[in-house]
Amino acid sequence: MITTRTLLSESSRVSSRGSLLQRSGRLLPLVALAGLCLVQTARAGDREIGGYVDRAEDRFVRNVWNFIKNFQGWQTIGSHRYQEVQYYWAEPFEFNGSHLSYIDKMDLAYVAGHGSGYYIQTNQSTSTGVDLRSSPGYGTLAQNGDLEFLIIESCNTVVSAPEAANWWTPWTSIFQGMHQLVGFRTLSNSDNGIPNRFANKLKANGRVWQSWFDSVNEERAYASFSNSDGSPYPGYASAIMYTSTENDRLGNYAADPAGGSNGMKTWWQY
Amino acid sequence: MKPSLSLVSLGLLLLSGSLATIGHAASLFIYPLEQSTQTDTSSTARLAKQFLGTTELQAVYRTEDTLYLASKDDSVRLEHNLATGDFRFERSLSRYLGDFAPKLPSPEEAVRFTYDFLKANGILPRNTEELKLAHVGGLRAQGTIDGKSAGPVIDKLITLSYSRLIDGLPVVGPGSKLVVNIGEGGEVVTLARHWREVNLDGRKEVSPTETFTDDEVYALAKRQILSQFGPAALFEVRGKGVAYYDNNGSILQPVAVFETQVITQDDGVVPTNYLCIIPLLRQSPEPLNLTALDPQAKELIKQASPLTRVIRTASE
Repeated sequence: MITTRTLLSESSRVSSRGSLLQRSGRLLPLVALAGLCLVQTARAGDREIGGYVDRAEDRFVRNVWNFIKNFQGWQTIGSHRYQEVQYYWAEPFEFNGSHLSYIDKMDLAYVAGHGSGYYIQTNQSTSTGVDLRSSPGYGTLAQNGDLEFLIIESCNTVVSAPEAANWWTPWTSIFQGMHQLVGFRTLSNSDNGIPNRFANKLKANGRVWQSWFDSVNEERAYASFSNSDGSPYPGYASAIMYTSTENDRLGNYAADPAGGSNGMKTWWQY
Repeated sequence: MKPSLSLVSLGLLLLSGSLATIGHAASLFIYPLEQSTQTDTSSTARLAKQFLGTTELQAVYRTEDTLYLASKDDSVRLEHNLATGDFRFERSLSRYLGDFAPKLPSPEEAVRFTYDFLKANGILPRNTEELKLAHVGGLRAQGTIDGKSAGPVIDKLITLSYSRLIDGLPVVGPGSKLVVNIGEGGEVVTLARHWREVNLDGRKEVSPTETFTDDEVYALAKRQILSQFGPAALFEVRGKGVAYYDNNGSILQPVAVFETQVITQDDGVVPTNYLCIIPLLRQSPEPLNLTALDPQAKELIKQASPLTRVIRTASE
């Protein structure tokens, strides 16, 4: 969602939204011109996407890349336009102390890495990560938070009803205006077609959580390949949201929820 | 979890067998996939009419291969791959949101309804022996009551995942599968069909010299695992077998599949389950390149700074 803050700073923020292709240096001579053009074409419906990669196996790079590569340059979805503007190695401060400059500056953040319940790893060699139970609230407009959709492709992070009877309480920490969190409640297998498939379903304006679940379902394979927790390849998806935001799509979504546990809802695969 | 010597030993032990131990006893083949006849937009219109009862869908997005369509109110949707003929439709899913508690059939009834639906609509695979019910699951939801206690668990849909068996071997990869969501009273709410017929007459037997040897396969598997997880990674092979891979290309080709569990050095995360797939053909007509990394994907990742307020500039 575009806030007053972001509208006021539209010129500066949009002037930097060159695609990764531009940032790769191939089009460097055109950057200034492109920036000017983008300033002129900025819209109130513009939205930002960020990708954050656990510093571990290359498959996490592939996971995030195969999602954000679909958002190079403005992509019109419904009444909004989306573009990737951040692509970083994951660091705890991006989720905590500096969240307003990183994931909470985005409208959609895609994270891939190792995980466990409520936890996402950011650096394997240093055993560093983020416990989302103690992270700040995301999407809090009054504090310039902006995040609507947090996608975490990892094992076990998105704890849902089968894992915890009181599943909603730990999530109230980060749900302070954020609309949806989607990921896996079980072990998961990555490095497959899920991120790319998910991106395309989102670009076709499918429901956010449902596009994720469908992408997971369409990856499922022969039952003899199952994970050590019994979940079939590629794992069981889960999502946390509100009753008011379960119909959200990138092209049109509900007003920011008030936050907290009132109206909170979870969907899960089994 | 601390790495243990026994785990290392187990990994090494299981990676030292022969291919026969992973189910490679019978002959292997390269199977050509038949061209679908549903690869133009007129067939898109037919699919919309047949499964969604409408001719009013609008194209909302298109990739190189796939056309995405939706009704004005987004209540029905269709995806159609114009290269493979694969399609997915969705109807009436909106009513399953909220508190709606559908009367779902039993899983056995759902399987029967699905079979009848596939048959009645002419989309049952030609050789039904290839169709394998791989998983019976579903979709559930739960809300909170005033944010303080749990509401009822609502069974929303039954999900049936079908995959393919060829010569008794499973087919893995993005193709050769059907996913069906069954809802109220047995209605087919969504159906994804990624399936092309196999041309059995055109199959080509693979000679032993055309495939990697037992030792090579195990060496390739070990190399892939260690290249992904680092030379010090500890892993256990939990299962292994030969399968065919459907990469949405023009063939099915044999691969070895290793189900592994890898222990990483971070105690804070759960052990990783990693499905290691090794193509068996020395010279595949369609190389799989399953672990290829686009150089840009890594080159363009940046290191963030906690003290930098992100202000977008033309140089970013």
